[in-house]
Amino acid sequence: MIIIYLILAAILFLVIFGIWQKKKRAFNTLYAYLINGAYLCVLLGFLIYYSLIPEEGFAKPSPNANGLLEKALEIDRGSIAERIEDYREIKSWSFKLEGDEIKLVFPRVMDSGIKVYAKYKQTDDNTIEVRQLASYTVLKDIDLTDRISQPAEVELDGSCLKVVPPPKQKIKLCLFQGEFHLRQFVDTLQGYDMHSPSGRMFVLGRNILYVELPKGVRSRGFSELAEKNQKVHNIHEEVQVQ
Amino acid sequence: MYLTQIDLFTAVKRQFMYKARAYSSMFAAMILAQAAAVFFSFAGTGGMAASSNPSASLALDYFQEIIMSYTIMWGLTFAVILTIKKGRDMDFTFVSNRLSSDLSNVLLLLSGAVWGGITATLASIAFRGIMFAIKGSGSIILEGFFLAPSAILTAMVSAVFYMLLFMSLGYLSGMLMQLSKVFVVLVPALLLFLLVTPVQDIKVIKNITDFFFREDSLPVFLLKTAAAASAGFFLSALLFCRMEVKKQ
Repeated sequence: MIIIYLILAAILFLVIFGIWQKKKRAFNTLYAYLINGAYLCVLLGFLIYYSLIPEEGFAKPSPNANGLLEKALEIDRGSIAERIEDYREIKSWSFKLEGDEIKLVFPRVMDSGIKVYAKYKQTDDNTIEVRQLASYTVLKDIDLTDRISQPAEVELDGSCLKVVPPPKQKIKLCLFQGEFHLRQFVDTLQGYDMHSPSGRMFVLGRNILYVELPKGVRSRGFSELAEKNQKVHNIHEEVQVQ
Repeated sequence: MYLTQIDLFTAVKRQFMYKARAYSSMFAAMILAQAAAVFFSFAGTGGMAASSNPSASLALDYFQEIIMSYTIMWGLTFAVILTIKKGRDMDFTFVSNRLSSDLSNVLLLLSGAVWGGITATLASIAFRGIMFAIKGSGSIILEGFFLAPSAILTAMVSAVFYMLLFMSLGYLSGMLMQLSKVFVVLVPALLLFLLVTPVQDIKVIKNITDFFFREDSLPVFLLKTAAAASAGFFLSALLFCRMEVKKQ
């Protein structure tokens, strides 16, 4: 990248030098002063604009975010069943079930990124509890969980539990490091290292749909999906384990 | 016996004013260089992307403005241009001597350094403003984006002194190239060698760069750069004084 920049810079300076050699007589001094004056005015205008930019809305470390990345890594390494209480709830649904059968309709299981986990409740209250949970998505000390984990659409249509996953979320962040002469003397730029003590920079969290089925209800779709796709393997396991 | 007697100060002042007008297009060219640097800065200097599941992806782009680097290159070019024959011959239109000519050149480079350093820092701020207008606050990490007024002032001062340092280096290189044709080959070859060789591989170069670039105390840095730039200009002046009048 630096080589490309240097080549471009070399071309640019050859052009500048060429123009200067050819046109210096034609270049009116007054125009030069005017151009420089106008340039300074534009730059000062940008300085005023920059000073008026509010700090709200910028991606910034969460309060008490010290060690958040390490915590997120720990949660991410553990099994979902063990660490479910550490997941953040994005949205929850509760449906009254009529009948004793439930079928999961999950059309985009392969590309949704949401894994479905199900288990039977201890009681038969005819209520299906659905919770969308997410483990932390963290970039250094910046918590992006709520931005990246958008709620899915879940509805109960008769005995069919229909799940429409959210569209793909893309987060692109910009980090300003400043030029060398800025970094050399400005402490905030000097000491800002995106890597955590573990060497990691980010954790991209999991997104799961946790379904609690009433005791005794017959489930379809959950185990069928588990057979077809290893990605939802845990559905089958947890339904069996109860 | 002269009809008009002028002192050194008046001679330097006249030459400086004349050269400032003559080289005004160079100052305008600096704007072009900085505008190009702002444009190239949009590409970013690196980044990382992650997509562990199909529903989400996370990307981080690093932005390290290159405006100062471009302005330094402009400064180097300007310093070398001042030493070429056409530039030196300009002095003979005045009642002047080597000293007044050299002092007016240094003054011109000093004004270029001040102008370049201030505008490079302001252009860096402008780049941030443009990025905010394009990307919005949600896509920018707060840390590193906002600079305190004291940081902006520090950046301006350090930029001016960096400019001076490199301009003195360019001026000295230009003088050497005028002194002997050997340096016309040697100086660009050395520059190219330094560009393609990692700095840490050559201990002397590493020590020199660390001496300036790793100094985190501004007053000490100012002293170092001022001393080095003065030494560069002094050496150039010595070489200039040894040069023949109207040397081809």
